[in-house]
Amino acid sequence: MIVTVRLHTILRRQSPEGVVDRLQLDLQPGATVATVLAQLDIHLRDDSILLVLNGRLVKPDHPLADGDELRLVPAISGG
Amino acid sequence: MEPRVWRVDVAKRTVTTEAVPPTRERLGGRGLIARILLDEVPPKCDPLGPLNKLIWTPGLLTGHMLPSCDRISIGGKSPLTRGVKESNAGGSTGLKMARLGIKAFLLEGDLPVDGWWLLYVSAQGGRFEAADDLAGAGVYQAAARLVDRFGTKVGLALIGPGGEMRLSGAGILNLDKDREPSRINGRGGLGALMGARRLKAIVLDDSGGERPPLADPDLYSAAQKQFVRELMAHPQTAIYRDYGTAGLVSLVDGFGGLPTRNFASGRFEGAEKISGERMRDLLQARGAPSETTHACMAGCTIRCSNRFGSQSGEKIVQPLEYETIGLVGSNLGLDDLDAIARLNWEINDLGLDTIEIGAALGLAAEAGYMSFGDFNGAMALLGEIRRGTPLGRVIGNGAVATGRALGVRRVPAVKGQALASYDPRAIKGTGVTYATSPQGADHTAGLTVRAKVDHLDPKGQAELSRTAQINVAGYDTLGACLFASFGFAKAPTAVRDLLNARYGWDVSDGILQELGLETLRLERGFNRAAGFGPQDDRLPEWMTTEPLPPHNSVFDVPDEDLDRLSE
Repeated sequence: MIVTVRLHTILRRQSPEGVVDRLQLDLQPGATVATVLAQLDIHLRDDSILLVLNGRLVKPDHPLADGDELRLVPAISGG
Repeated sequence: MEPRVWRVDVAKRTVTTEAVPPTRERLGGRGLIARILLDEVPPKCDPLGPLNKLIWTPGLLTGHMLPSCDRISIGGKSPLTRGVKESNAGGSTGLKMARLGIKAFLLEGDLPVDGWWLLYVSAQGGRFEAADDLAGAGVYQAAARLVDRFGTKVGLALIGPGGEMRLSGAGILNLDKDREPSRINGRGGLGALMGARRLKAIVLDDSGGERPPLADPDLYSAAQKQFVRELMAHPQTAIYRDYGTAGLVSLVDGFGGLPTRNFASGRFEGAEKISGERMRDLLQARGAPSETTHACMAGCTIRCSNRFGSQSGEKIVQPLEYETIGLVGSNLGLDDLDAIARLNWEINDLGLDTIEIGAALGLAAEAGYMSFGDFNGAMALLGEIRRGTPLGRVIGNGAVATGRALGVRRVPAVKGQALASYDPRAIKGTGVTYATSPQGADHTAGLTVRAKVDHLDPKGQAELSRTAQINVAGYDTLGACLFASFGFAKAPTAVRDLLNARYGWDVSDGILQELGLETLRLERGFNRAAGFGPQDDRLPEWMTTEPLPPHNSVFDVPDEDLDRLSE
């Protein structure tokens, strides 16, 4: 299944082609949000990253489905 | 320099000072404003009449260049909400007032009938000077002329044409550390109160002032070190430094809560083009004078601000912030950061609040006075404000006035004040704050967007909002920037120790919440006496019935939950 991952602010990555803030991952059935975090070597610390699946906050053990959009958002507040 | 309460009467052109009464010693900033309003201002008075007062108060911690803790609160009875109002800002005004020993600075007395004035404030007292030559001048030009006249070391608090016209969307602008008049006490129409007393500017010369004394310098130093260490180490500090508040665009759009085309959608197809990520890339590519990180006040270690320059290397505005990008960008269907930055400069120069005016322009667009996505149409309407035409004055008086005059029912406002850049149907805890805060719908009254909750679930949002509202009211009373709160959260004894070390008090660990609760209690007391009741602690009816794409959610936190917060 294909899942789109959006990397916000400081989670964006430099690559030889430029800044990467959107990835398409081909995952095995049964994959969860934690699978993506492990694949991208992102470690959750405190409450510092919000996991937003299709516009709603989820926990790391939440299962993924084909066509999902997962946003990994370093938490900020205020404007 | 013993702290004093200053009383300024423009009609009589007198400045007097008096000792701080005991009931006011342990308050500052937002809490002290509520105390003074309850003591001295008839709650049902005409906000633009002689019985109202315009009040400046530095926070309890202001005066020592403690990082992010030198903010100035300004307040009074709001012409926009007709209730209690406090709006705080960075820049140099708070620090200079504290160093001049100003505990509170009250503009009061009869309304002058003609002329424009400025007040020069120094350690020797206050002195009025004629300012008729500045009448009608935009904020940027007026500030530059005042700095030319009084020197580069003074602070300024001034109004623009919007304040002079006593528009309810008018704010009061302060110099940042680069002497740009860009730090605005924006919300609630406080600039109209200054205009009503025909005071164009306050010039602050603190050259004869001094740092407020410390009762226990060693304890202060230890607490300061702990706070700064935690603040610097906090991961959010790096995000604010690199992306500023604009980092919220993608976050809030991701949650489906980004105001789009007068709150018709929570997701904007152009969100990536106006995101903090895009802004950072753009400013880095453009180079000087653009800057991705910038401090609004001396001593700030977060530096969440920025300087937005054009492709051709001219400075457009500093800073460009999230709330402006939301209300003046996606809310108007604009997906071009350069266009938003130019509108931001124009609204600042008029001395108006970008949130209130952005919401009003969204209503004007819905009514057909401009098209969504039409930068030139928005600029033309701002031109109407500058010329003082009837249509311009309607828009300058904010969202509610605009909706009523132009016949638009979908007005995004609570207690007369426009919603900030989080649609409450998608971020329901913030909707509770909009509904129940004594300040009206306000982005600084208790945001919940970073909480680890399902923002669409109405359950538990009232408690979440309540905690946020109490903490924020506490920080606003300290004079602390909301972003300092991350450092204080990791250094839980720092607030207690800093207050005890500065004032020789013996406050306990819960002092932040005690200050917050006391502030909210005073503010609700003023609003009740002004005529507000539970029926005013509600979102606009249409937000409870009109589904918001993409989640097609309505605001459905029960009224009983809202009522519990008002008690």
